[in-house]
Amino acid sequence: MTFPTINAIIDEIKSGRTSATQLVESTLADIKARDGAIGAFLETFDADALAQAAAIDALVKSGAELPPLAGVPVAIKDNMLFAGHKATACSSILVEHTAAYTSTVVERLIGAGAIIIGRTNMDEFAMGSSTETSACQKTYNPWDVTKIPGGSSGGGAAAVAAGFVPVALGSDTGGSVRQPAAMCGVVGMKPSYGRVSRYGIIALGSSLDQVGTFTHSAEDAALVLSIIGGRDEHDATSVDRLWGQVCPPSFSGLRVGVPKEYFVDGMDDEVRNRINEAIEVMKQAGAEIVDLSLPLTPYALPTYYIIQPAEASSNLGRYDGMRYGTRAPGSLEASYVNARGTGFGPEVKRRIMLGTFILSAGYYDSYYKKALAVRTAIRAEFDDAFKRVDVIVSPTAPGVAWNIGEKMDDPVAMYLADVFTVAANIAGIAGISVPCGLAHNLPVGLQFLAGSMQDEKALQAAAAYQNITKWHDQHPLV
Amino acid sequence: MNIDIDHVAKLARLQLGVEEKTKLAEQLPAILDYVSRLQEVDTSAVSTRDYFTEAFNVLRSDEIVIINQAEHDALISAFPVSAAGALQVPGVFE
Repeated sequence: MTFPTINAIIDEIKSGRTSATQLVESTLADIKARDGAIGAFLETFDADALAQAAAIDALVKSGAELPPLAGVPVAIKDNMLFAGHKATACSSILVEHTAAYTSTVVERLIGAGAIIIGRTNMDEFAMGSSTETSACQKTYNPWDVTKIPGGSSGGGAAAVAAGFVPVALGSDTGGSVRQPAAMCGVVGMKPSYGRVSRYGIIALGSSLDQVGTFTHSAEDAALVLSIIGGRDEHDATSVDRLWGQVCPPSFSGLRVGVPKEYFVDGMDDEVRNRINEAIEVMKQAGAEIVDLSLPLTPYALPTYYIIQPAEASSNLGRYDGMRYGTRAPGSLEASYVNARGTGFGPEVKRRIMLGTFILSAGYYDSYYKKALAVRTAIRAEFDDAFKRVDVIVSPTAPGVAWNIGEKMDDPVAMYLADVFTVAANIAGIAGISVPCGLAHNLPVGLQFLAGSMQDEKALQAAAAYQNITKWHDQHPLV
Repeated sequence: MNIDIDHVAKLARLQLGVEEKTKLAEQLPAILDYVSRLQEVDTSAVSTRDYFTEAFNVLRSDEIVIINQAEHDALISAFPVSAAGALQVPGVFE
């Protein structure tokens, strides 16, 4: 098993040592041979992928200049539209849904010569932290198949961790890229709100959703983001900012904030040790370690579990069996109620009910409006902190991957898995998780946060950390 | 806290089985109890923002955008029920 970087793959293709067709064929064969035990992929797009590969090979042969991701296999999450292919958000209500148009991120990847290999498993409508709420299948952690891969983008994290593809796209509403990246021992990046278009991504929480990447290195993440990022007229929240070069990765003179509220009781001791060791590594490499306090940290998760269900219940109003999915019999009202009752799974129903209640008359002010006020205060707290430090470092999750099924009947325990990641979505700032060793023989993720639109700083710190450590070279034996 | 599950389900246009209702009647108050700790935060001095993006007043001209026939056909064929190239729905008035 090899785990090449994107640049290594591009070199192979450019030099003609490997053709894009050979690479796609071996990738598809590898997935067929090994993914049965992992369940990362829902479907591979064999015909389209081979056609895309043939086009790249023709370009190589002609001697023309190659696009920046020529021949690089990429997996997408099942909530990303790719015209002519199924996109179901792993929900029964969309099980037969075929995309009529292509999302901006997929279009930009294809335009850059990347090859879309297939779609990966996820929690239903991205609601979950373990990929277990998927109506399609289970995904097993490549490090230990009795464990969850994290979620909601667990399929993409597992696909990169297992070495099927060097890149997968995920979406991160409260940690759905960074948390599974941590659990599976890969790099997961969530850009600042606005830096990547969400056009053609099935929406969960519109003020929180952001597209992110799974890769083996921060440099690969930066390369992919430079392709998919930037202004898109179809997403009014996207901003006109080009992705800058990640400065020479170095900790020298970098101010790294350590917020005490992210090192709380209830955290796994081994995880805490790995993070403290990582901070020591940065200190030795010349980073200025700054002790911080972010007193609103304990309120980020409660804020999230008000705003997100409120937005999700509104966004999911469109799934009523009229324009998507399966039409239920009966009068208009009965048809709505039946289609939604049979089409949505338990977690989705729970959040729709929660969001509907929160937004209902008499409760709107005490829950939703209060959450918006706390959200504003949390953003201000981060703005203030980033005047004193370049990046903030924390664990990505309080523990390592847990047993399949362990938290399925306790929603609050499941939600707590996102306790260190949600703040970045609440504040709209950038976050990246990089592997920093093992605890209980399972990967631990180290999170770097950077201010809004300061994504390059998070990438720089992550790249610097990867330059001095080799944790990302540890791979599961599957 | 007591939540009228039937009322909220009606607002959400969601059919729920008896077991589902029982479970939600336990779980929703537990989640609300957890999120209610927000009341501890003094936000009297906070001027609340609804969004956090650099984008401001994103407008476009109000013009009809014609999509190509293939995309149009794909959209129609994605509808669960269609007739004569249009979405067919049950009558709103009986």
